[in-house]
Amino acid sequence: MIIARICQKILIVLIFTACIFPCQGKSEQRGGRVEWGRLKTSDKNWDRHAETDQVMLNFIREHTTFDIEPYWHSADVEDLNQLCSYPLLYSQGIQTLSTTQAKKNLEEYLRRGGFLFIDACSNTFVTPDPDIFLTEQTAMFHEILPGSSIQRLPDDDLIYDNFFHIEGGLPHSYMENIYNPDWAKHGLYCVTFEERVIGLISLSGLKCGWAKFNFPVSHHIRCMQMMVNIYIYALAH
Amino acid sequence: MEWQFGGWLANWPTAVQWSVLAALFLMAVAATFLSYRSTRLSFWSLMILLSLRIFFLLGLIICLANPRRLERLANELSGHILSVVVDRSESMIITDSRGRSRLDDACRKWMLLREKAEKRFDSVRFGSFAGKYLPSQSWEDALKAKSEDKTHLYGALLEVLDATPLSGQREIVCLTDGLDTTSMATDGLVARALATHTPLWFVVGENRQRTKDFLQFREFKVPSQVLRKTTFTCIGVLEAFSAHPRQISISLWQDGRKLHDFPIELPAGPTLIPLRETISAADPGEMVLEWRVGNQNEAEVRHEVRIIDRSNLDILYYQGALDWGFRSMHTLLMRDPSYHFTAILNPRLGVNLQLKTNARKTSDGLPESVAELKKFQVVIVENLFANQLSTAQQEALRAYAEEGGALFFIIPNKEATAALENTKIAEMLPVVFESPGTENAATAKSRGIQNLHPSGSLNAGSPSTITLQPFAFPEESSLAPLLKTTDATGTPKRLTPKFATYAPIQRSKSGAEILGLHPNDREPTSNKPRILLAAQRYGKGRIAVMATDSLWRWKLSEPSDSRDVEIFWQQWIFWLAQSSVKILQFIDPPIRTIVNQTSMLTVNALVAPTLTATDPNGKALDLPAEHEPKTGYWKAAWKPECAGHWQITASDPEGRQARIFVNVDSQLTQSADLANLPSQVERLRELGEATGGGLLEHKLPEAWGAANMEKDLFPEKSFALWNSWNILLACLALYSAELLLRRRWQMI
Repeated sequence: MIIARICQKILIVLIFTACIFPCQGKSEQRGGRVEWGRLKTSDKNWDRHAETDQVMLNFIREHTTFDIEPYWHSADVEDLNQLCSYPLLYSQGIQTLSTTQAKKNLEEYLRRGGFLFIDACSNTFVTPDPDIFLTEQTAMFHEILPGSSIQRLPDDDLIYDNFFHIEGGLPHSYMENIYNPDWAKHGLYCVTFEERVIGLISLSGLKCGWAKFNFPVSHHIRCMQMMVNIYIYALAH
Repeated sequence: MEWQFGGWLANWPTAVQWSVLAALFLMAVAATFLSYRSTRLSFWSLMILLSLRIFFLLGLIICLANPRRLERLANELSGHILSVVVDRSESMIITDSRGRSRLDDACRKWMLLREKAEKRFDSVRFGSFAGKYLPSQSWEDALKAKSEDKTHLYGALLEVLDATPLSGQREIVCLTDGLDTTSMATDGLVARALATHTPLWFVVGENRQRTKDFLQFREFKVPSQVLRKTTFTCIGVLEAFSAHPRQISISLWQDGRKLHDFPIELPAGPTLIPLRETISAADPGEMVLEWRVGNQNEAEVRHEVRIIDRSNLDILYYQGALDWGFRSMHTLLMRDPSYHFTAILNPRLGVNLQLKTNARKTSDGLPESVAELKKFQVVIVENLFANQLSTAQQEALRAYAEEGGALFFIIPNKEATAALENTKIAEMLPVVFESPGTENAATAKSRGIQNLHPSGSLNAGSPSTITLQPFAFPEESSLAPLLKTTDATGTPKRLTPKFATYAPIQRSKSGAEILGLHPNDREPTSNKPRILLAAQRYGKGRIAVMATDSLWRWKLSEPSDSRDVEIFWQQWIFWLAQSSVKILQFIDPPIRTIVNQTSMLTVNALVAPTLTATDPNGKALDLPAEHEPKTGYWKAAWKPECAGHWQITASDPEGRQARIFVNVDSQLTQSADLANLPSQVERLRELGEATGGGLLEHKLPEAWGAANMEKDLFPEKSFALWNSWNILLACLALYSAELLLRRRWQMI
């Protein structure tokens, strides 16, 4: 009890002194300001788990020098200017693009240098079949950018080690945390156009991971680590 | 060295600072006494506890006071020196109808200031020049030195500056009429004066000499090499004196074809006529430009420009903090096969990238040797946190620029500017950033920075509110012509880069060229538009700063088929690299000379060039070139034996060529010294102000001898004294000791 009180007092002194140091001018050293944008489409699930994006964004801020705002923004696919406010757009999927304007806008955004990361939701009510989901994304890319190609990244690609070392490859989130080989067989798919990487497709439900749905404690960390790696991959390609 | 309080106490008067600290300390001590008053300890035990507490409180007070140690650049010379340099050329000692010379006038002006001036300095040195600079023992000796019919003003000042170490502490006063009879440009002189923090002051001598009618081209500046399908500026300066008003015709010719022809009214008296034309570079090849005056070519000057298809450039791109500029820059520069792009990241970022184009690992970090940096013609440094660089890295960057490299900093935010304090990088920059902590909310808002909102903000889910703003480019800047291009229909337009965020610059330093401005924001004190892009010659190289993001948002905002962003970066990098690109070029070539007078030709070449002088009759004369290790240039002496238009060609084993044209006169009729040209007052004023000096007319500069010199002339560094683990550990030890003793003496 007495020793606890002494420790308590020492801790108070340490905290007080530690508070002085940050106040005296040590500033954060980060790159330029950037925002996180979610692609808004006619899909009713376009903003699924968006309320938990701040967890992932704070994780990026904590572990890297990106000056990324810790809350998400929307980018309406019908408005090209909104798309072009973000270097990387996060999407639930582009299979529901129906208007000519939306397709043209997305095409133009990607041609200008934008990057699109598509992350399927692991909830089977949202994404019933991962193979069909992948086929639909591929078809849409081919439609808006004829000549684009989608290739699976090898399991030893540097994307799994460019910042965090992701042991065991792409972390998968499964419906009700039950392993499903139909999902597990998929890795990350790289979308290229005119020798430039313009996007990635994931069937691993990373957002479901950082939203912490019934997953092991470490899973959401791995999902956020994977997202950091993907973000850096997009920056460098 | 001195020290001062920092942080929250910094701006208060010293008496208030000490009073506040003393009050806080006494209150804390009184509280301690009260808390121990009712204890039953022995006297000595009480004294021990009180002492421990009082020393602990002293440690806290030191932390709160935030003391900082200030160091000013060490004075390598014995104190502050004044160098007085006297122009003893013919033009200074020829008397007018009243029997007075320009030297008499300059001496009269100086004698009014001399006594006060000399008292403000620790020592005064004297010298004189006409052709060559000669040190003198005294003022009287300087006045009696031998005069000649030539004026090597710039060369003499350069000699004085060469003897000045980089720590400065010297002012130069020159009594002259400013009539330099060489064709030497002032760029090197200004760069040396800035590098040594030595302002140049001029006392101009004037009189009523009767000047003969005179017409001569003083300057003709064009780039030695330009990219095809670009525009560049052709600058000439015509020096004239006319006894009566008259009209002259000036024309610009390109490859024997007249481009422009315009009449100019010459007033009676002296005139300096600046000439400026924008020329379009079409297909690769050589272009000969010529200014002519009058139908009989009363004066003419010619210069060759090489138009190249592309210029192979090795570019090193370093990023200190992760930023999307990396993707944009990488994509844009990789697209051009003439750029060899190497990207490296700050090793502290912990990022592991493998880029196909890189010959080195991205995680290598900035080189610590200038030899490594010199493999690149351009070094781009983005998001540099200078306090993370070692002294060797900072010195390598400095030496790289000084020895001819092109160094470009992209500094987009205040955090990076704060990290510049007390670094060599800050001394090199052509601008001074605003101090951290001085920004108010309005400026922060205008910089496009909103405070980070807490999680669950109402802004979540809304579209982005970041907007882009266009740069404003001063028309008179040397970059402005390079920004002119054409759209798809061939209609002329100007490239307009757009930025989102910027770091506020307080002011530019002497000699800096302002190339880009904020369209709206103004610096509060001077009310001048905020500088966003500036550059400055640094030694033989160039340093530029862009205080915005790297324009990647501009790329996303432009149509995918637009090449504006790409062209802008190509033009900008090419403009930057002119000092370091591997070309063959004459340095400060003469425009004219006289028969049998030896001129020194200077060539910038990687290997020994072959120099050939061709006379008006077509006879070629080989000129052996010798290497000058100090500058790295090649020099050759040339003595024309007949008058007329000469051509001098330099070529190297790789097939590069450069050519100049020199008019050789038969006699010294067109010498500025003998033509009694008027004193070059404005020219000297510009030269002086470019170095932080100016003209001395009626009073001495206030800064002379004062303790508070301008920080960019006499930089000071501040070091926090409290920010030390020793103080923290000492505080912890004292407090812990007190607690343990209180436990031992059963007070707890």
